[in-house]
Amino acid sequence: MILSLLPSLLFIACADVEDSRLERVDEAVTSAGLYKLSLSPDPDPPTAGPAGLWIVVTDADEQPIEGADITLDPWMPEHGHGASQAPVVSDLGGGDYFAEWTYSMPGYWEITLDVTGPEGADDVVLAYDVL
Amino acid sequence: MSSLRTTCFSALGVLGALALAPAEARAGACCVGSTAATPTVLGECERWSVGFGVGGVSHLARWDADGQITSDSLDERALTSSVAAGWRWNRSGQVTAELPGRVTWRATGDLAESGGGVGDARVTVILDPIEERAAVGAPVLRLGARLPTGRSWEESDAPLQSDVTGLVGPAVTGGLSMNRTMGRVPWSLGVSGELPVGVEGVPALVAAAGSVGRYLGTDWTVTASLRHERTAAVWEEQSYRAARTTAGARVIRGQRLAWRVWAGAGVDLPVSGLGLESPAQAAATGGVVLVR
Repeated sequence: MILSLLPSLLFIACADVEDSRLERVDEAVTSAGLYKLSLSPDPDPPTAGPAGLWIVVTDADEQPIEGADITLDPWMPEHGHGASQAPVVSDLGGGDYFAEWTYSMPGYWEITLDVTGPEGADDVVLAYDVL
Repeated sequence: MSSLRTTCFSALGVLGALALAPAEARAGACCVGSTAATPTVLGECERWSVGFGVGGVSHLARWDADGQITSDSLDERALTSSVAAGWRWNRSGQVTAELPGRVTWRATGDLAESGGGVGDARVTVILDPIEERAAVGAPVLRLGARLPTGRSWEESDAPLQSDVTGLVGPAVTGGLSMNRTMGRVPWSLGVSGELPVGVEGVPALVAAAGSVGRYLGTDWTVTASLRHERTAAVWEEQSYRAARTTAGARVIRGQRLAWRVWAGAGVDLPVSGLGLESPAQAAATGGVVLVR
């Protein structure tokens, strides 16, 4: 069993640090290019505790996408946990949306944002350093 | 028999308990796989032990993604406990089991909450095949498991996850240390690790630790320890790392084959460069162990 553990443990101890972290962006395009997003965290910069994210969704021609189904999945990759309560997304009309959840602790968080609209389903991963 | 018992107690019995126990500040804000560690490791002529420990933890700051110490918006305190037992079945083999508990108060801004419960149990088989009095020192091998008996973040009902007391899924644990007593100065150097089983995203851990002590008379021992740990979690085919460095000190008083009491303190050293993407905490622990 020790021998089976060694490769993993040596990897942790000795491997070069590969920076897997993403940069924060305020304008994003989903991975397949179906949607453009304008993003504004509230508060900004984000802090531990209640969090909000204003989201404006448009198509590739920058026409507002109304009635999209948007879900968010917060994840703290260094610590291996997410948010204990799923984010709630409100459709404000005109392509504007507002998401609310709680950051349980400070640190680096990634938010997987899924958009399902008339163009289809697409996603993007956002990153925030929560203070 | 009397001299054997004295040797037992003054050497591996105490040193093992100190050197093999995690540093007191190990209990991370979200990495609660371990809390107050009760030293139930047994000396060569001891057969069993039962113990109880309590402690307190306070959040100090955090290391950010660049390894810089920074203040943050989180206020956190916790009370920890553990019940533990050990049994030695022969001169070179023993097993310990520990069940921690934790109550956490966490606040940020206008949001405050508390929660807690039983944490993740640990079972460890300890093999020390060579007598500690050997000139080159005694290797001590540990193999064990962390069992998901606590409440993980997936089961949490609290927005700040103050009710989280354990990690998702089980893990195998292991370690190898070299212990030696030079006159009245015991010391230990070792490495240890923890590897989650069957769960994606839970960090694996590797740590290096050293401790040195001093026997004071026949009943007292003081020690100081230093531990550096690194974790890595693989998520979506990417590797994410964290690190922390902890210093600790303990005072133990005991009577051989009767009892031990201890008090200790530990702190994640709040120095830039000694950690990465981790909370820095201070902790104090104490407790009692009955030994036969």
